[in-house]
Amino acid sequence: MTQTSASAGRGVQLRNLTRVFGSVRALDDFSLDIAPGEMVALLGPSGCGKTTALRALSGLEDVDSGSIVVDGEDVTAKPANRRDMAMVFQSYSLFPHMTVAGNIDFACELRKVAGDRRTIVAENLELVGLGTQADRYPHQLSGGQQQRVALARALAVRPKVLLLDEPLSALDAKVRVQLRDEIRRIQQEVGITTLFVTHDQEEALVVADRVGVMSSGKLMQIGAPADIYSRPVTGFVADFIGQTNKLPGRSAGSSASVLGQTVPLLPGSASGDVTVLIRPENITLRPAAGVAADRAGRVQITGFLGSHAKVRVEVPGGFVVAQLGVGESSGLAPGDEVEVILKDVPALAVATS
Amino acid sequence: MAGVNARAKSGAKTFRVVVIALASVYFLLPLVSLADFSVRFPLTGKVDANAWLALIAPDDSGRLDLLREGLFNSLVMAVMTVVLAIGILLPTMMLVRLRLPRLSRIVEFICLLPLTIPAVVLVVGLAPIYAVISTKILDANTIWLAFAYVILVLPFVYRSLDAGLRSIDLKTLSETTRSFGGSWWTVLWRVIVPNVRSAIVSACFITIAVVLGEFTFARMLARTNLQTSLFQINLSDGQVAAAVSLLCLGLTTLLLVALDLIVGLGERRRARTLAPVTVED
Repeated sequence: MTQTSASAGRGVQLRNLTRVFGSVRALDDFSLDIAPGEMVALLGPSGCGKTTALRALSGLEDVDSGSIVVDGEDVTAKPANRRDMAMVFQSYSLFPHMTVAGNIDFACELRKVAGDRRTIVAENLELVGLGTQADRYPHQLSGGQQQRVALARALAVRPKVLLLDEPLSALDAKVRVQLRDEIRRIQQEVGITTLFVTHDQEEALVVADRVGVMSSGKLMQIGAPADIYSRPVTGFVADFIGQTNKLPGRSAGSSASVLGQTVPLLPGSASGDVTVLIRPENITLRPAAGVAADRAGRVQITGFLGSHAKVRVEVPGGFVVAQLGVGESSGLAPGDEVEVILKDVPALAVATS
Repeated sequence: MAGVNARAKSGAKTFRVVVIALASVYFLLPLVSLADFSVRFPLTGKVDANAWLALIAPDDSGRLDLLREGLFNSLVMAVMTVVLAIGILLPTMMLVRLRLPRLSRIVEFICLLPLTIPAVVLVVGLAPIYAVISTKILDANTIWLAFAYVILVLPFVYRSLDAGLRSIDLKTLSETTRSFGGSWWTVLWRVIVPNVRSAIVSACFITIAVVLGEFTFARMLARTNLQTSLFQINLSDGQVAAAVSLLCLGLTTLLLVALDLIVGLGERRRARTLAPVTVED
């Protein structure tokens, strides 16, 4: 794919972007740097501003203040059609009156892509595995195929930045996983700078080099997927990414006392009476009767999930969910008495509200 | 059960045939009567083709000149009205949908307003405007009536284009085109127009039909179009007017069929042009 390599590796800087719709601050002093060739996923609940950030970068949405720099050039005032980017939308967005090849060819024509356009069309269709579908119309393709064509079209124009606006949301689960992996493979192969917006945390964690978690127009945290998951800096991030047990505790410096045990705390944790956020996989259960009351529990529900199981256990003052291996959970049944053991893994403590 | 279904199907078929027959009689009877009137002298009942022959015979009375002028004016105005109405309304409706959705109700109201105002009332308001147009801006040429006809056809064009624009994802298509570097003109001409082609053709058909059948504006503003020329001919010879009316009806039908064929031909050609781009392994 030498034709796309020319477009790879352009850096993006979004600086202090603000966008207000009526009384809603869709972007609130939002800043983000994307390194050349990097894939960043913006993740957050509906209305957090992630799509607004993407549209602001594409030029489809104006910003009230702030600046957008792409490859060293300030493009804040440039209209969308002069920003040299390409976007893949959630709703496929193929031109219905054109064939698959016509769609890609038209995009290349608009962007004045140099070289033999027929070859470029063919190469990009091969890249997404649709080399034999060139003369089909969008309505003759499945949703997954249409989105592959949209991806091929976006790559064919050799954009400085590839923008993906929830491109997998309209697809069924199996196709979504396939195409998700394919997007990652192609992005790495081509090395194009990519901003990916999604509300699906699994999608974001699997696909991106870095994940940014947004809330209320602000970037709450950005980092490698593993960091975001295991070292959240706010309660919101910990709560939003993955499943979290919220257990009352007492913080003393770098550790906290929870369920009669000591848990190391992540930097930035609150002190005093706190709520400690512990992942289900950081909890183990041991069948036992007569253990200390503060670490004793009673199994309420067990759920088999294929590769692992989740067990809900009633503990003093509430319940916890533990994620166990299939072998560990096989002997547990509702009503069993267990000892709840917290692993020695750092957790975040937030002030109890 | 099968017998009941068969009887029900047979009954439905009979009902359809009856409805179609009645509708055909309703539409065709006036035309047959008109044709009969054009060849049968009313007082004697004598059948001849004089009225039809008069259309091709040397004409000293100036009737055919009047007819030619009226037909020419109406055709020119039909083209002008189509271009103006669609040229103004399609971009406006796109703009409203994409950028100013809160104005959509107001635009719809304005576009549908001419339906509720009788043509006679409209023309009373237009008369002083045309007095100015005739004397100070342009001239008294009939074709400038096309501006008024744009108002007249607004409701029909709006409804047709509205249906077409509702059938596509206008926002995504235009944003996609923009994101690939397309100008707003490209969005309109290369993406939206091809996807609402049938709506545009419908709007053209109804506009042409309205303009070719318009009488009130032209008569009250003392202009010559097809209908006023037919009216003039009717005053001197009703049979010739009937023959001309039938001829015009036939010509209009041919025009619309030709337009339909041209559009269909264009679509097939476009499909051939866009279709196969060879994919090399």
